[in-house]
Amino acid sequence: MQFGFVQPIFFWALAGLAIPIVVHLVFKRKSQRVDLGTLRFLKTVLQANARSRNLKRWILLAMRLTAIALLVGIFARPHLRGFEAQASRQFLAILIDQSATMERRGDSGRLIDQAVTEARKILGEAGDAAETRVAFFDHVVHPLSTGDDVGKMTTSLLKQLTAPASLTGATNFSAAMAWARDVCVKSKQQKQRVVLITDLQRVGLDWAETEPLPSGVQIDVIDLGQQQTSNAAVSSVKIPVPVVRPGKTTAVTATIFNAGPFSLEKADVVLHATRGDRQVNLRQQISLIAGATGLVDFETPELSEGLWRGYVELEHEDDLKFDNKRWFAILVAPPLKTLIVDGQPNELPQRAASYYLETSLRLAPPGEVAPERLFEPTVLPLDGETPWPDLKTTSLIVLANVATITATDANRLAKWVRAGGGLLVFAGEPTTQDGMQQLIQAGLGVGKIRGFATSNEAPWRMERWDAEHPIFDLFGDMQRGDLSRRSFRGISRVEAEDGVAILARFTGGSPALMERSVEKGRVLWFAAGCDGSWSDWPRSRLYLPLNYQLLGYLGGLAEGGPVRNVAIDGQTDVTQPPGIYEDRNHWNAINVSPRESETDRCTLTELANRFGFSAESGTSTEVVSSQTLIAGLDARDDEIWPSVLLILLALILAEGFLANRTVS
Amino acid sequence: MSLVARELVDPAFFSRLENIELRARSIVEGFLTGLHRSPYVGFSVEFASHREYVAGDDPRHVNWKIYARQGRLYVKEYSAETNLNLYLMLDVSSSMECANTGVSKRNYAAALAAALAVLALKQQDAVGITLYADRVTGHIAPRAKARQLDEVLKLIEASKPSRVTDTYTGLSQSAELASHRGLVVIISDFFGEPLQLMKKLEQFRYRNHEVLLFHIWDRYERDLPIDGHTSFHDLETGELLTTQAEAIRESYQQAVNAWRHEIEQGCLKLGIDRVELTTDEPLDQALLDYLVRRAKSFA
Repeated sequence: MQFGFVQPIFFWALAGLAIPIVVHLVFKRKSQRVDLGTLRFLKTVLQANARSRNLKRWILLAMRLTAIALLVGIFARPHLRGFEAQASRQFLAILIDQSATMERRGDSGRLIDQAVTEARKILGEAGDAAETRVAFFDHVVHPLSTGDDVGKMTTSLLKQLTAPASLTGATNFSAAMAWARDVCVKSKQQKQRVVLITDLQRVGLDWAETEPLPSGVQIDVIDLGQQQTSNAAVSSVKIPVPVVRPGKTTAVTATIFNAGPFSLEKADVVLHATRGDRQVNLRQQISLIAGATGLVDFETPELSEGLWRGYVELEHEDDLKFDNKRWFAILVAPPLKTLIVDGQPNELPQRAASYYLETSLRLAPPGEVAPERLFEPTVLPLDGETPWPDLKTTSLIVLANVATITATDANRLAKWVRAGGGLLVFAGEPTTQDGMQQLIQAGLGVGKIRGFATSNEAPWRMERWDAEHPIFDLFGDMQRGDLSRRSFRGISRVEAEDGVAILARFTGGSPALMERSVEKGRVLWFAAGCDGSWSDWPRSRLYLPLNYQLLGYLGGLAEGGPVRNVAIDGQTDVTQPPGIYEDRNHWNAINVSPRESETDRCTLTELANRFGFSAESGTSTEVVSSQTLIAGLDARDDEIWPSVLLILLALILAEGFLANRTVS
Repeated sequence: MSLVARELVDPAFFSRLENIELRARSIVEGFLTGLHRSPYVGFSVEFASHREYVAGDDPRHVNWKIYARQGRLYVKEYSAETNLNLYLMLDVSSSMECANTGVSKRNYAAALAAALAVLALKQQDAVGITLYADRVTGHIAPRAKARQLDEVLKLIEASKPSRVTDTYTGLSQSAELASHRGLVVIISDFFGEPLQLMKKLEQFRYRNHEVLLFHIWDRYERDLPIDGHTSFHDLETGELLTTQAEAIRESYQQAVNAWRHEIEQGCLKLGIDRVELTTDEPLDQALLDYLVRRAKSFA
């Protein structure tokens, strides 16, 4: 019976043993001082039990040190290696690189096909007598299922092992080695072997640090790469504005990278974009020396309203085709039509609920239009006479201090939100549970409105907000304004229901901003008015940016804008191939990671040094590391940390008991 | 804006007054205003003159005959005689510097002594004062003259704390200086052995003095109302003791109470009144106790 640890690196945390000692020292220094006329009474008390007190202090220190050691021990995940672990089966794990560069043609077909052939051969040699695992990897690891029958793992793997049709992922050796460590540590076999089949692309090393493999694991690296790769790529396509106005032109800048060893001479770069049956085709030429990067600028003709999908393609013959084309999209649209439904219209414009909001969105005096405006506001006074406009072309609707919504209006709004509209509700003084009943029943509420609370003496302030949310990311820097300084003398008390995200709270914890997703649309509720009757915030410098953030978020302008560039690498969970895809209220232009275009290769030694094993010969290496760990390992059935945890809990209880009865 | 009597005897208020005379007068005026219908007004008996009635005067002293004749209210004024020797014994040892609640015991005791002096002199009593630590550090024999108050207050104001090992020796010397029968008011924290204290107090009783002890506490000394890791500093010796306050509070209070009980028993045996005061308490109760004891000394 052997005692071992799954994650022994946590023993570094034993340095934490210094904590109780430091705590003791700090306590000594930081005690409060009290003057007394005499210490005679204190001495009477303390002298009575000085000896036992001293002993208790030592016991306490020992208990605290032991508690930390046990805590570290739990994280290190102790286990008992049973006699069954002495099994004589071989453990074999095969990792197959399926990054985009494995699409390249080799001596006998694509590199990925060669890799699969090699893997099948190795698996065949091992047979069902071995415990086997196989995984493809690019920026993430895709393990194959081993099946339920332990004795037929290899047969099951061989059945599944076929080369993927198209490859778009980025190389990540760290993810691959982490998986290998995981399966090795989990396996109870003594003889372990890992086979890595790859083209040794250097960019695969540039990922997070990982820990070395367990001791005794043999690693074989099968290098399918080639020393010289001819490759030029379109590494980025940029449009200077997030939204182009209808009838305007725009620049499109493509970055061309010559990653190969040869110069690029007058290569054609074409831009192709379509919207319905309308097309834009532009052509430029570029020459680049080896290793250089150049820009190609295109100027589109005047574009009509809609989403223009397209790509920039480098017409050049090289070894890697996947990066010769890069997708982009241009949204051509007018400012977001924003309907402000004013629940408190007034003959004096400054007293209307919508006055400040409309002014902030229009960015220009009445009758004029600011050229850079993002929103096109229209006010609908809710006076029972003015009819609602057709909502088809409306992107955003704001309910400002609306007291009552009819069932017809609520259903119309709900249908519009479900189709992708963004609704912002300012719940001011007139907004009540009864008045909003129809809106809530239509699925656009966020909870129960408990009433409007007011206080002149102790106004509410925005106290906490989700700093990670796109609405608030602008306010992370206090230089841009402190949201917590805005005071509200009246707020609506809202009891948020399940499924509603509370993005901000007022002092005292009452929700200030709540979000609900309704199919393709979103609803935001702000639990105060947007006018100046119960708050000073319409006159503050944060009024405009916060409203722009709220409406911009609803209109898809936040979080990277209406068209977002997404690279297929470890930062995303993209499953689609390169192209343009609609996603809720925005579009994603998905492309292969530009890092994958860098075809520089690393040496076997570099790979070995990076992951803590030594490269002794050609394709086979011996592991020299003696320790290992991996985060997120599945539990072994012989782990004993639950028992250690119980001991720790008992120790903590005993420590608390003793500490309460011990004076220093 | 006038201050009500309660505020004037509030230690937090008077501790802010820098001038001790002003402090003492404030305390006494406030106290007397609060007592203007009490049986302790009008100690002297010899008629002196009339003066016009002002709000607050006792109606019993209104001369109704003059009112009947002239329709105006006059009150009778009396002049008093010196009828008591008041010996104020003020402890100025370092332990009296304790000031955890904002007012030091020394300041509190000084204000009390000054207030008693003002009150006594108002009643034409002879007032003397002795400052002591481990020896007598200042002394003024009792007199009822007009400038006596100035001298007493100056001495109180000029007092300096001094470290001592045995306060009772100073108390013993003080007893030697109280030669004529009178009322001895000792203001101290009395930290020391109860048995020794009783021996010293016996000396006062031996000389037929009425004795009144004002036992001054800082609330922290008596109740230890704090939590957490605390370093306790002995103001007499400079010694530091660090401990977890809440863990020993109960035992500490038991030890204090045992000591208090021992002193209380000793005082009862000697027929000595003892009044405990904490520095965050108003002084009017102390002044009232003084008047009660003063009345007893005439009995």
